Amino acid sequence: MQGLHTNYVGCAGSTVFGANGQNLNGIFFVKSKTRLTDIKDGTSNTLMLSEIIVVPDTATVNDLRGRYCNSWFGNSWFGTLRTPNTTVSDTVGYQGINYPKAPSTLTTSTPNAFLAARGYHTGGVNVALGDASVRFVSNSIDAVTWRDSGTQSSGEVTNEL
Amino acid sequence: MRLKIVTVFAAGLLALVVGCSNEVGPKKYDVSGTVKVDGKEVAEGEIIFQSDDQSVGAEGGTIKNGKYATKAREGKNKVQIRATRVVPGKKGPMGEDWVEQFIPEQFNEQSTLSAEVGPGKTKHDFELKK
Repeated sequence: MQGLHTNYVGCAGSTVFGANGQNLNGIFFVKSKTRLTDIKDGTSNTLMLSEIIVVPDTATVNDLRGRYCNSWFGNSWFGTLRTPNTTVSDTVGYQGINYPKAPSTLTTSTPNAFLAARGYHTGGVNVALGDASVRFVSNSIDAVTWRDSGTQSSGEVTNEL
Repeated sequence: MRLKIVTVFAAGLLALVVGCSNEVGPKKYDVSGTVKVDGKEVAEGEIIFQSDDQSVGAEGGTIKNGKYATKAREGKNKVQIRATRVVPGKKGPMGEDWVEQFIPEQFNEQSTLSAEVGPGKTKHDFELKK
């Protein structure tokens, strides 16, 4: 693997990455400067981190998901547009490997880059909220609740993750 | 204290049982079919079924050589189809192969496609015209 990869990444919000990954609605995005007081939905209602599945590179193809250094196209963040461990593929923009439990679709320079929360635990993923509490979230979580919990200040308050 | 631990354990067990046995939302069906664009089979792509019931996540499956098989929820679904191909001779900024998504957005990001899924309604073929 090239560059540091980890399978814990920050939450960029409930949307795709867009043209440059800036001004997204999660806590972390490109050039984000989110303060705890900016998290108007409440730190205990807002996702900070999740697991993703890191995919080994092959001899000729890199999979950048989870890469922190020398990364590209939203590969250092996850989003809540799709529910955890969705069967819908992640969308990546440079190179990618379609992998069991971590499918991906490659489109060069896509504005629709997106990584879902993924993991190998049965039935769900471990996430950390803005108050540093850790929860196990079921794959069958209400999709609207999940989406809302990815945003830092959209006005909705999610009580039950 | 012991009682409390037992209670917590029992509650956890219950949650586990409920969590495993009860799939929430409309029933899932195995759906399959073919995808063609301008009469040609889509060699490589993805099909996504998003139930009109917004409380459940979308289901996605691979399209390979014009065929797909995936899950979908009972009821009306919005369908998105993406297809990708390498553009011969074109390279990305790092010299990598240039891969384009070549189906117009009225079939994916702004999809107007839909499918009704249920008993006897699990075969859906899509013939798209660009």
